[in-house]
Amino acid sequence: VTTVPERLGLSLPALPENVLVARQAVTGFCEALAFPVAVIENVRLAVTEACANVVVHAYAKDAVEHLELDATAVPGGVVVVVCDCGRGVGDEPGAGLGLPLIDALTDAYELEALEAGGTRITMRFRDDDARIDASV
Amino acid sequence: VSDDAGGGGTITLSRRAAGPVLARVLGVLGARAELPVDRVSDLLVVADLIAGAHDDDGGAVRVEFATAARRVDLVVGPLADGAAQRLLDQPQVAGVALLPRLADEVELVGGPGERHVRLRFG
Repeated sequence: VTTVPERLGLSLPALPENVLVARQAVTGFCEALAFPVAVIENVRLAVTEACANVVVHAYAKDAVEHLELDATAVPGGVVVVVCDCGRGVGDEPGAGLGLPLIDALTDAYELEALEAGGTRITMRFRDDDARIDASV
Repeated sequence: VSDDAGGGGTITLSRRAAGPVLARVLGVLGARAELPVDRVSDLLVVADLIAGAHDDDGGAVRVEFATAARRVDLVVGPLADGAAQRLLDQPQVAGVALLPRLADEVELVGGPGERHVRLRFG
């Protein structure tokens, strides 16, 4: 018997309104996998932050390029990858809370600069690990 | 799929997650397009129809989408022939297939094994 991984893939223009699309999609995905509510809250908040970073920082102003999201169920949790083909992590001013928040919400995360240009963030969540109970 | 400033996109997902994910995404798209609430409700039903039309064989559900003012366009597929026909014909209420009643336009395109169903709302 072949087990097909549960997977969600999204390809969207990196526009503010699409952050909500990504948030809703990943929420529905985690609900379908019957994750605890507190874990779903962590996943969707981290995904919102990662996608907002792409929209705000990845591309030059008025350049609408793509945001890619891939979520895959793995034993004991879910891995979510958000990537862009933009200008990479720079020194743009910001609140500086995005990555620390993602660090707090995930079991682990990795930020990579892609050779072809762009940035990929890989976020791992355990399904028994409610790191921040955002419902409180 | 029609083009728009709000941005079209593509969603690909496994069958088990299709219903919950598509309901949330299509709901957002309907609201973004400022469809009346009854048409947003239609989209939520269509999300379940799309999920239900696919065989639970490990195949992926793929939907392209785009929004414009008071309009949502979807392209579902590629679909196996049986799944495309199920989407168009099933389920029925009082002998009437639901999807053609819910969408403003329904079009089956593509050849055998590579069917796509184009839908327009609004």
